[in-house]
Amino acid sequence: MKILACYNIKGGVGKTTTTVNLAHLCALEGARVLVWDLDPQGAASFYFRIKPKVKGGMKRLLSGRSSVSQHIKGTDYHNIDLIPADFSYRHLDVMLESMKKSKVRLKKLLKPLVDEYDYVFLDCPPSFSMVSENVFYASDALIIPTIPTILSLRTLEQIIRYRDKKALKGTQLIPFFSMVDRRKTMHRMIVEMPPKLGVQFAEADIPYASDVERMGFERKPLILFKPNIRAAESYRNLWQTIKARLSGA
Amino acid sequence: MIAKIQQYTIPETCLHLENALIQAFPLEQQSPRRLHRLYKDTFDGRLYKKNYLFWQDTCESFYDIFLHNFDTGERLQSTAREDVIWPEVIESSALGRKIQAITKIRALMPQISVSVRQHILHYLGGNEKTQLRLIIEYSQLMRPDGSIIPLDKRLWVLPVRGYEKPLKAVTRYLKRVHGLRLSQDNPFLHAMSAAGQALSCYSNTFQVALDPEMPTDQAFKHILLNCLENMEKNETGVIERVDSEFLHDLRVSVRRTRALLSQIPEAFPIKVLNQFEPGFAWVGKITGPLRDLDVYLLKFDDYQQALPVTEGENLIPLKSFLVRHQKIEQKKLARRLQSGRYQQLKSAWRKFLEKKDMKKPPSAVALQTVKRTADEYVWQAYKKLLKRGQVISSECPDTKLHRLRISGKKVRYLLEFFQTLYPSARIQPLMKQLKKLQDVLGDFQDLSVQAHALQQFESQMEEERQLTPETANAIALLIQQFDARLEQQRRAFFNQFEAFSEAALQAEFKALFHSAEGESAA
Repeated sequence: MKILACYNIKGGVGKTTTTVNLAHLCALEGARVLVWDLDPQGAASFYFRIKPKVKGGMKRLLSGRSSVSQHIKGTDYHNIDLIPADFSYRHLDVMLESMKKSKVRLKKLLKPLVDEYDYVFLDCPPSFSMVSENVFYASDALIIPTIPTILSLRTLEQIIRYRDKKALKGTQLIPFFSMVDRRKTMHRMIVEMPPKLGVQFAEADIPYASDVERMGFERKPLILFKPNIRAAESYRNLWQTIKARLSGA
Repeated sequence: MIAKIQQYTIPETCLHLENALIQAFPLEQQSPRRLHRLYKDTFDGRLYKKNYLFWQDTCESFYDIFLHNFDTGERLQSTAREDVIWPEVIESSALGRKIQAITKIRALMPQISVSVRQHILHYLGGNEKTQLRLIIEYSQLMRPDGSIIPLDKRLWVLPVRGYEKPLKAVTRYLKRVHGLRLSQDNPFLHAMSAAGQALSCYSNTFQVALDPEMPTDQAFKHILLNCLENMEKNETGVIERVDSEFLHDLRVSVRRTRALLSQIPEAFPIKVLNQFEPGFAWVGKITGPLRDLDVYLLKFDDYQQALPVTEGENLIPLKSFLVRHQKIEQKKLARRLQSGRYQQLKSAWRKFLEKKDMKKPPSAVALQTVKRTADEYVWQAYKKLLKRGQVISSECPDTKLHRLRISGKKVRYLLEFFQTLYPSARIQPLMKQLKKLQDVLGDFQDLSVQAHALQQFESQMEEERQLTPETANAIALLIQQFDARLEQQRRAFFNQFEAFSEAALQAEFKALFHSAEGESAA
């Protein structure tokens, strides 16, 4: 079971759309996929039309009074299940802080599912917190949507520094350019000559497209309602790149 | 707890079920679609035997593929861009891995195809979320003459995890209102029976029921006819190169035939032996080169993994060489299996086997009961095996171990031929113990033969200018490893032989094949 986290400190960079589209592409290949919507805003749950509610909240789950398995919901798509968001996730940091071995709680919660799923996608909240630390420890790779702007690159540097500081070399970082607007000179410049930050950008940049935004209206992965647009093709390329990186290619 | 997929056969009397369901529940209808469905399994029905069903539905440019487990009600689904013959096509998926674990080296072959009209109903909850799927399927069988046989109507209820209430409500409704009961019926079997086709019960395990009082010559014809039929069952698969097991099984049948002719020649007229022994030796010979290449290719991944990564990659030219020669040998063999010589050998053999009585019995052995023959010959072969094994020392030449393996093989074939003459609970443990000994001896043989074969391949590659110094080096490393493992296998032999020759097992062999009753009869 590979755990992939869609993560960025910044919000509004396309984490949830990336999670939903990658999970869908992965499931189409026959892999058994679980998405965990860790963001209390519950956008991934919304896309999958599932009520953002975890019975008993996160506290019950972390205390071991309920298992993750009990909260899994089937989505409308074959091979994709979801653990919905819950409003209690907003206190997740505080809950984790007060626990022993607080950094590996998420990893421990997912361990029993190892034979049930091939991939777990974590849709992470935009922050740098104890939740993020848990995500770092639990994941095989962090998929980092990055808007080609100076500020976004700065946050990417922070993530890289954090990974190196914590000596989490086993966690791969796979940044890619998201919401790329080729009409903007800066976007074009950064995408064509990405800065050398010690990590390799995936060669699949997702264009800024109104159809991607329409996913919220359709509540479907992009490939299901606009299979032939460039953004859909970019997500396919992104998924192939991620798979290749995971297999060490 | 994940709910199982439920299946119902819809009786003819249950009209308008779909409309009734739509009226009773918040169901959304998907546009009906027609599918071409192909059920697949291996030649020996490995999926069916494990209670699995595999099928592929042809969509526009790809296939929707399914693996249904009738025991657990679980269904895995995936898509494939090409016709699934080998699970490698879908290896990355859970479904591919599951099939691979069951079918191993056998290819998936088409069994029967049906035309399906599928009506899908989505049970919608809040936010128009699908909470349950209902699939009604109307299947038809298209006969080669163009006629259509309607098959049953079937309802699949596919639960969605975490939404148990709709499942309970629909299940209750189907039972109370329509009197439907859950079914375990296999739609594949239903289609096969409607087409008048029997499920292939093929198995390469030898199991011919013998009557202990049968005269030996008749029992042997019975055994040999079974071997001939198995040879014929595998021929097409060899010629069409479906998978490597067809050739393996064909060769096993040939070896069994040759074993019986050579081990108990007294039961056959000299003329018959002179006519057919060289004929089957020829079949063994012409099938050997391709089988050897198959074996090396099947083991190729193990060879690579046994070496450090770089050296493993340097072996790739060897693989290309083997694949190229495999194709050449395949063509040669296909031609020979369709030749007049092979066909004549089989038809003459069948004619002999189907002839009721021999005018002049060749010896008293031919007329005595098969049970008596079995007792005598198994006991003799067993004694010889023990004697040969007891003189094996840690310094003895490899050839002695090879000869011992052949002695063991003779006992094994005899036990297989005659197993139904003895109580299964008593003969099976003996066969199991012998198999363990044979496995160790077989591995020993393989290692020494493989080292020799690799050297031959190497010189052949050199002749064909395909050998690079890196590949030669990787092959040399591999041969070194074989030599080291050869010593390990030799040590393993002593442990296995000790278990095989222990007093209790010897006593059991004696009791079964050399009892006082047997002796007095002899």
